[in-house]
Amino acid sequence: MAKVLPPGVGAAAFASAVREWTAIVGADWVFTSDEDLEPYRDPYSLVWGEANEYLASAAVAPDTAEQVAAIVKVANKYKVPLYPISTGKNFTYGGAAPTYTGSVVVDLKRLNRILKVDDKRNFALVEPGVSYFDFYRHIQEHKLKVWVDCPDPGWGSLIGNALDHGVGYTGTHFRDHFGSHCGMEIVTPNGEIMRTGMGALPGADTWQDYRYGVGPYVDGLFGQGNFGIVTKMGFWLMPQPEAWFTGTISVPNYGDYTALVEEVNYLEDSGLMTGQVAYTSPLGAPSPELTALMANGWPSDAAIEAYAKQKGGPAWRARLQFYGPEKTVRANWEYALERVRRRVPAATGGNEQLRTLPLTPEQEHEHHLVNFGIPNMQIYNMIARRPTDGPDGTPDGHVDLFMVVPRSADGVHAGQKAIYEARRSVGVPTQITPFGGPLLWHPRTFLVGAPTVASWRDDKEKNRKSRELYAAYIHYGTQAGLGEYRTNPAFQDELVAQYSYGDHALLKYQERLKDGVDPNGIISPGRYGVWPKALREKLGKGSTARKKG
Amino acid sequence: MTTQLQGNRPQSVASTLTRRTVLQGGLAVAGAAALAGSAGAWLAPRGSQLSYYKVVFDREHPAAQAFGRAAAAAGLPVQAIERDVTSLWYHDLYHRWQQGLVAIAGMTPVRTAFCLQLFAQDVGLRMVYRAEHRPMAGGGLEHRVTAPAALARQCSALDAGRDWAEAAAGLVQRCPSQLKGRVARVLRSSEASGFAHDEALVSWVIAPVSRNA
Repeated sequence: MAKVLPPGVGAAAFASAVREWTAIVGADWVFTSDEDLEPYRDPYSLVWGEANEYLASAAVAPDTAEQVAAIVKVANKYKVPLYPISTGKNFTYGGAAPTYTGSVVVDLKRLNRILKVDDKRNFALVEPGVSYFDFYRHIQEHKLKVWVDCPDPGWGSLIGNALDHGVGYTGTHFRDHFGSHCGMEIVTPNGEIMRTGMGALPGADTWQDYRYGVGPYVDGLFGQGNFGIVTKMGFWLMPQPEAWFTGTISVPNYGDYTALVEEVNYLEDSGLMTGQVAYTSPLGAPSPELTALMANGWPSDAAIEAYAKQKGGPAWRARLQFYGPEKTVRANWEYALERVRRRVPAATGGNEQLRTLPLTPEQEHEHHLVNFGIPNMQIYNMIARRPTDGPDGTPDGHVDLFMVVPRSADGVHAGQKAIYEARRSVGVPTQITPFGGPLLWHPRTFLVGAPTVASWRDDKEKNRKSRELYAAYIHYGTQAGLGEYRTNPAFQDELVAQYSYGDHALLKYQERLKDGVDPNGIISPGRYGVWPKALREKLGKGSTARKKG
Repeated sequence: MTTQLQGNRPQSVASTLTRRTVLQGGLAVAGAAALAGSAGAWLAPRGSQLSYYKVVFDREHPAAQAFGRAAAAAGLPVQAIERDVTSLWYHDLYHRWQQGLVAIAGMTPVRTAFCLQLFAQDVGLRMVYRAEHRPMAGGGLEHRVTAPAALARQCSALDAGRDWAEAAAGLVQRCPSQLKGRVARVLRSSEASGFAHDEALVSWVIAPVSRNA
């Protein structure tokens, strides 16, 4: 690993900055050697070992928000870019590696205090170093009657995950982790400590109850943003439900998909069914007929219908999940089935299961634990047994891509078709069919996922092909009016460029904000395509690049 | 019920990191003497080799089972897992490492080793020995080894035919407590037996290190 310095900062100046940070946090918490910095590489990098790999020049680990503020002031003094991380385990989206090589990682793992958990008003206030495991352990040990909505896997940070717009698996209002936050504390780029919402009102006990306070609501700037370092964040928690119920509705015809989705949307938006939905189709099982259907381009609706009729059996299934008292979840399930049958009389219900909560240890082995707010590492077992993009063995990592698509059957197909066309364009097996289901993590939208893109430590050519495939996904998505909701640093500029309405008016606005609040451009330059002025001009990044076309 | 910060450190999450061990890559560890004091007998080397709190193997893989049997036969405290590391870490290693940093070893799939390595890094340990055993397309087995110099010199022992997994256990037992140097080697052997799935296995050692080791 090549030793790097912050760009534009001389060795002597950098050494001075390191000395000043050492005075703030102590020598044990400043890391500069190659060996010390190895963990700040992205183990899933698609540019591993290449000249443009994202590398840190140093790392510094503060223990308090005040130390973070002091670190930021030193960074301003020497014009050293910083890259804050929480637990740094957001693999596939960059891990602990900085977006701009030479940045100093501000590692916030030591800020790991669970400051408050209230299971009467159902909220928490935590620091960035608190992982889902930490939080779950806390609520278990204190017998608190709340759930934490956790992602797969569970070793990430509540704050880090939320700030990256991460998602989970329980109730509708909690799966969008940024959407369920309430209140932040931020160290601003000039080293002030700021609180948002009711946190700005001294003495207020409503910081985690009411998110807006008064005036413009700025919290959104810190999600996927580079406008400050978040040092505290509040979250609304799901009260521990009394029961969980699941049932599966099957519809016979391929064309019933539209009605099934619309009715399930109604159930979800009405609050009658708040769990995650899984749409599947038996028609997607590998077969020579399916291979033939997909062999010559995306099939017409008539061809898909004909294939479905030929195969027979239920065309679509929706597995619904309900949380609440046993009486109401059973009643809501009955109503769900009744409602779908109004549109699709031949719809059937089945696979019904009720669990009173909490699960027993024996029951935990039978379920996808994240549906019950229990963090775990099971996702790694699934990935390990899934060679990704062909007969190349097990890759070293992977990069994910999920397109935001309309919450409709047509929306799902648009996403699938874009991914199918992208794969064909770069000559990789298509894999995609019209019979895959969307992912329902966020409220009010579907995601369609591409097969994971493999990364390799020892094969730059394979990584090049992976990057080519990923770029094709973005391109074909844009052509269909579909965009991704987050991405690896290697593609952030490219992805942000697709959000170009009004001659990139959104990006230009973000850049003006960046230049105003962070004139030295020290906080996460380039994160999600927002570059400070000096680097836009020097590197031709951001809206500057778009002007050049 | 409400829990709220009373003092500076309200709950146990913080305790590991307040000892000025490490937080990130397991690389910034306090002095070896302090670690030995907190780790107790586990850290104290038995002779010149590391002692292990647990030797982990994934029972799904015949090679890993053979590794575990060999380790048990040598008197090491073995721990079987099946795919998932959650329980091992959450219920066992987390608590043990809160008390003090102790070494562990094992043979597992790559992803399992990756997870354990990162959990370990968070509290100040690092993977000091890693041998990835990967079946080759044309037959045979490739061993990609990163090891302390003294152990790397012994890695030709992996060319042990069908007994390669037992040989891997032997190497782990011989991992020196003085973790000087870091050498990478690639070896090939003739037998690729003991793989349950199309994925590589890794034999590994995770141990406390001096920051300047």
